[in-house]
Amino acid sequence: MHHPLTRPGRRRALPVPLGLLAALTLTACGADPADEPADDASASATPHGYVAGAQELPEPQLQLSYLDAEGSAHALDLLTEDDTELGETGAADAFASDGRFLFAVSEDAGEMTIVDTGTWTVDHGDHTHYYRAPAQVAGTLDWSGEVQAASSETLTAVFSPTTGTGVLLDRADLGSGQVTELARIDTGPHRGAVIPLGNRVVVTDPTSVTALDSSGEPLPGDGVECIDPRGGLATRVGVVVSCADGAVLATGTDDGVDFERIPYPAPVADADRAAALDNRPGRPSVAAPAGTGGVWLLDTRAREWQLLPTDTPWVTAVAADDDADRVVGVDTAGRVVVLEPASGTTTASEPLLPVDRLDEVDLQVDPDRAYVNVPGAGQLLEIDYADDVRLARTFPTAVDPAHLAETGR
Amino acid sequence: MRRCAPRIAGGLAAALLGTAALAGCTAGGDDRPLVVVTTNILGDVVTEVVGDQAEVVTLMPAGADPHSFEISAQEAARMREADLLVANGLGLEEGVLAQVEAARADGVPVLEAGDVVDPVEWSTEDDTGTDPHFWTDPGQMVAVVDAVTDAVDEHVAGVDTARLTQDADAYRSQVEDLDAWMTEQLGSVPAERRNLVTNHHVFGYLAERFGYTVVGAVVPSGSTLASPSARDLEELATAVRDAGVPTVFADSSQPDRLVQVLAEQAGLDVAVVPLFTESLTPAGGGAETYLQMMRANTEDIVEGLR
Ligand SMILES: [Zn+2]
Repeated sequence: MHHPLTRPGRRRALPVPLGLLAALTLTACGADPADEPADDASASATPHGYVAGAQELPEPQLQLSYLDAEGSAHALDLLTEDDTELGETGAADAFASDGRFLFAVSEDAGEMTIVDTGTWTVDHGDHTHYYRAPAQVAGTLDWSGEVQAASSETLTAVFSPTTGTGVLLDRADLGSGQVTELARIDTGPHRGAVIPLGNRVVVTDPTSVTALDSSGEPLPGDGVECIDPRGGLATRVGVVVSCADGAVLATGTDDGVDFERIPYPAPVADADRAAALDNRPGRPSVAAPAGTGGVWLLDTRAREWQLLPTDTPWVTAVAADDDADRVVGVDTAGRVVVLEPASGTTTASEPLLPVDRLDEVDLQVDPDRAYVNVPGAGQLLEIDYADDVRLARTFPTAVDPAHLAETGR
Repeated sequence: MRRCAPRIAGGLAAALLGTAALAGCTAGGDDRPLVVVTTNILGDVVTEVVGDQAEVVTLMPAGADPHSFEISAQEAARMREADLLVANGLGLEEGVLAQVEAARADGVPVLEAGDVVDPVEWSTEDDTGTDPHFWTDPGQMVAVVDAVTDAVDEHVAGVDTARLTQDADAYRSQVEDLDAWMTEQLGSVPAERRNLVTNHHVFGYLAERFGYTVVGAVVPSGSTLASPSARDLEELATAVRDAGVPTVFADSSQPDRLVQVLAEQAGLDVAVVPLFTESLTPAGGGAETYLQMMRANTEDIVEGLR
């Protein structure tokens, strides 16, 4: 299959490496005798965030990035359907992604390997930029236990609920293959969160939520109580954290971070709490299974919880936040399920997923499609969730997909 | 959400040549006064006004994105040596904002084109702001030509005012001719078809000036075109039907496939035509100058909507 992005057209945009243009400008300007020697110049003149060979492209460069348990990482390009090898991470006992980087933990090696999948999106409010650069292994960090990962434009945070260790990384450096630790945060083992909010970071401990600056120093002002946190998530509005009595929403202000409580409509039993908030990146709404009888939908813009009953127990719920506010999930029967809150109707696929390995299924939802890995079957599935949960495309994989992340967004 | 699509036409070799030429570095080290310009559209306009009376250095490469291009430390240093710095402003050049402010703090006179235009506002679901893409209305560019002329006369020592005025007048009349021609051309499209169904985000000023409506449309991504449903095309198809136009002005990675899918899934017979948006092209790209870019877009719009 030929590459559609290089198809010639009367005025098609051909991607030109930004790095190359920058380098040439340098070369052309380097002759000025008043300037520094050319040798120095190439180092000192490299703009912050520069990535060798990065191209800007007119649409998202979506990839399905997947790994097997041994840590062989691959990416399937959703435009060309080409499969490429990203690298080896040693093992993938735990896994997370922030939409560009993959974080795979090898317990034996006692470290996490960070893979740059080479495609990402920068949202500037009224417009969006899409980039592609060569994929590479960016580096490693000493690590143990589970991993959660989240990024803002400038910061990347990883957190281990198992050990309570959070590490804040410089995201631009990570993009040039360098692991630069900006801060290390130890809050003790708990199911909390460390999530960037612009140039700051929202951090939990077992009883509260606070905000730190990018060097890990507390910002002025107090945090708020949050008993027994169960993870958090960045939304279009801010960072939301799940607490025993509801959610805490952290939003950025000119000089700090504001916290608001969004209590549950009524007290909720521990087993029915929203413990695994998930959303379509960049949208205000988040969702989570509510025990075995329904799902939670939290609109962080309206500051409002909704408890939506489901016919079957769901193991994952993702707020698609589309024109019908759909919630996409996987139920215990191994089906991809779609709930429309207004009507309460659920649409389900055929059973597609191995019911004994549902904890390995990573459901990814973008504006148009949902994607799942089928562990043990060597397949990734593309689901048109707004069109009767239609199976749109099936992709064979090069290695068994134990973990999946949609990257380039 | 609107998209910022970089527009790079022509081969890589052409792009490279264009970079060196546009960056003005071939003239580096001469003893003329120095005018530094951020974007390549303004770089072309300033060069026309200044003629050879000053060295004009344009920072943004041909085919780059004005929102995100960044400059080297050496270019930043030259910026701070400039007799005059010309920027688009209105938040367009996010990647060089800090250096522009640093130069201003050093005492470099800065002309922001945005300060002399009549601003158009944009709004999305959760944000509003001033549209920085004023150049799509040549009437606004006339005001910028005058402001550049005044600023050069005031701040750039050694410039002969009579020659400057002569060069500026000659270029202003070309922009005014463009304005008159666009008025006539765009006015030849039947009133009910003056709708730009587009995923480009720069035509707000053009629409405001010439009585057009921008119908913002999401073009289905390449990954959905592989196995599309009618719903994927619904928004675009509805926009096209409501607008009653035969052409969508859009960037798509697979324009031919998009045309085919619109026909199959939505029963629509439309053309998909990209326009030049916010960068000049390298030599041979079809938009080497501001005037050429505007004429090419006008021709495509008129041809597409007639
Ligand atoms: Zn723009």
